Amino acid sequence: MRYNYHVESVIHVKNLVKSFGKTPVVKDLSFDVNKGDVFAFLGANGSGKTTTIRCLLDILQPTRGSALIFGNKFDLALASRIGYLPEERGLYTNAQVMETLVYFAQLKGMTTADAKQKALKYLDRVELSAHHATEIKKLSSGQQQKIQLGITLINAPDLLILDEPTKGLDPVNRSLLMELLDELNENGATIVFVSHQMDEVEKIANRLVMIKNGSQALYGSLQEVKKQFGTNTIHITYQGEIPSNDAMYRSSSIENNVAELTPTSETSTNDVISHLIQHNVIINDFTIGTPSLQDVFVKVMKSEQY
Amino acid sequence: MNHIYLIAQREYIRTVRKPIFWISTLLLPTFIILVSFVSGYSADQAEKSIQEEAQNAQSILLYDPLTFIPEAFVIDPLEKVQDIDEAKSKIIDGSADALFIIPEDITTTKKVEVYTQDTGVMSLGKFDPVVQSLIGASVASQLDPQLQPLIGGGVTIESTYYKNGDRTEISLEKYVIPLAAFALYFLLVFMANNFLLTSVSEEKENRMIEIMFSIVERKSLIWGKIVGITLIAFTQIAVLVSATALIIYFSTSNFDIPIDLTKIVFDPVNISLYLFYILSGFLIIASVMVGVGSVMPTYKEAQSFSSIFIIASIFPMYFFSILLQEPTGTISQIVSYFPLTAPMVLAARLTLDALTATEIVVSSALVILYVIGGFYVAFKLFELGSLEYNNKVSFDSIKEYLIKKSN
Repeated sequence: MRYNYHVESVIHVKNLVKSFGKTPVVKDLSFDVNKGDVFAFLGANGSGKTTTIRCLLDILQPTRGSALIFGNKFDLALASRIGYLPEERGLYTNAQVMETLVYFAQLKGMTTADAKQKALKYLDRVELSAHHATEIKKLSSGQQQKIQLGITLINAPDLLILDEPTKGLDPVNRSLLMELLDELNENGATIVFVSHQMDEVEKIANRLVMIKNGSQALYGSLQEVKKQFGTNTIHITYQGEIPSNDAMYRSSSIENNVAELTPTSETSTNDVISHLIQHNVIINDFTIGTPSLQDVFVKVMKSEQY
Repeated sequence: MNHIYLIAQREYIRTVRKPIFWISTLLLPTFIILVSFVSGYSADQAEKSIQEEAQNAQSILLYDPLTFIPEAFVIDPLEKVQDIDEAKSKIIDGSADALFIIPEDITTTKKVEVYTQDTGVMSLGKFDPVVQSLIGASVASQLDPQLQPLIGGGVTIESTYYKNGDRTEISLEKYVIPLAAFALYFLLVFMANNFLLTSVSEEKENRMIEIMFSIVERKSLIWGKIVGITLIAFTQIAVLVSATALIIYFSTSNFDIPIDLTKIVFDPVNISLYLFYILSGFLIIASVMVGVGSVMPTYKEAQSFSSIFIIASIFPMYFFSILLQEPTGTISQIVSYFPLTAPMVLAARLTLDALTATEIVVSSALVILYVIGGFYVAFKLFELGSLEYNNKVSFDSIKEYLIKKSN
């Protein structure tokens, strides 16, 4: 049965509930991911993100509600259009690099010749072509993660679902992954990813849903979500020591001489900056805008309002 | 279907290229010899029972027109007869246990005929020791050097068997097909299924299962593995058959094979039944392996847990002598209907002609139900346990899951 809720909708989750025994893990969750989105799926550990993804991919059966991909309940006919990188992921460590990539490409419906060509192209892109005949167990951890990603990307999917794709990656490989995701998105792929690295999310995501204890806490475009938390947050680069003053502002992050200060309802941004100068803080640079996603995330997780 | 083929192909290639596969395949004959050694006690007991059975015979008729056997040796249960046809009819109607015919020209023919009851494969040569010792004692008492060659197995004994009034044939050739069937059963059920357990456990242990679930159907994944592993077993069989053929080919100049290969009986009904029992036995244990591999977090734990089921399934081997002597007895009947032992015991009883047509039909239907039930539970356990990476699935959660699913 096909549902046309939204012409551009790639993922449609409506009133999704998933319980294990009597314990609800996902509670009445709803959101849409549109075609071309780089969509962040955020939440603390154990908040129900992986369970929601498993429901989307029919690995788990929802207790109630619907989870649709390309307008349909997931079935394996869609597998060739989807690339899934689960949180719990491994490899056939005794197998060779090339045969692993080709095997999964074939399972996703590619011909052997096409699979080999795509595998070589991918290995070349991630600088592993010299290792095509190497047993996976002989590769470094970072190289193995590139193979895991290769399994996900080899069929050039229309939709990528990545559960913590940067987990365990060093900065170089993390940067390479971001480039790859950018390329795929530019080529029309929709990307849904789970991450705890809010700086990465801010760099690449355009929309997000944040869940807390299985329920939706925030949902919308990155800017919309951040605006809900004000537009008067002061981001400063400074020298000296920022004094503590709860009556005047709240500091959400202070490290490496970079701080994020949000005035209270009784004060203005000018009051805060004047206060800092009076306390011999040298301000090198400052901007006023929305809080960082890191700040938003911490607020949501600590707040009882959500 | 393509997924099953791809998975089967991968399972096959990854296994046959491991050196351990070839080592274990070639070590199999050694293992079989060891098993024979272990079951030696059972065979010894069986031989003693056969001798006891011969000694406990109530009536043995002796046709000896020239009184080759001295009268002094003709004591109960031995009874001398004059009418050979009447004596044979007593064997046919079952009123006598055996008839020994000592020909007039025994010194030249060196041959004694024995007519007796067919009580299964164990009745083969049952009275041979009695005849040999009788001849030996008679020769010793006559002190005739010309008769000396008859002592110590110098007499050939030709046996004729009767069952329910009909003459039957008991020959080793009859057991070639059943023995081949048991070898096939052993390979498929125990060795191939061990590969299956390894494969299911590794899939989980390697954390590949979730990716696989997003690409292939769970049933395809399992059937692909089963098909691949069956092909692996056939490869082992091909290797072993080739090795055996080579040994026979190179050895025929040195010793005689005690089996006339041209006399091997190819009964299509029995062969079909053997194949059915082999396949069903394989599938029942395969379902156990899938279930165990799914609920245990590591291969090591799965292997130790699965050994309980393996021991249960080879349990009939420990009392094989009872099966041979009483193939329709209570114990044989019980183990014929226990899921893990049914295929092996039914195949054994078929060999011993101890299965009625009704029993074949009923037991076959039950075995099919066991296979279906086994895979139903195995797939449910696979659904339940395959994503439990670090924990064993508890019995309570299995119970809850199965009850919930069936409601």
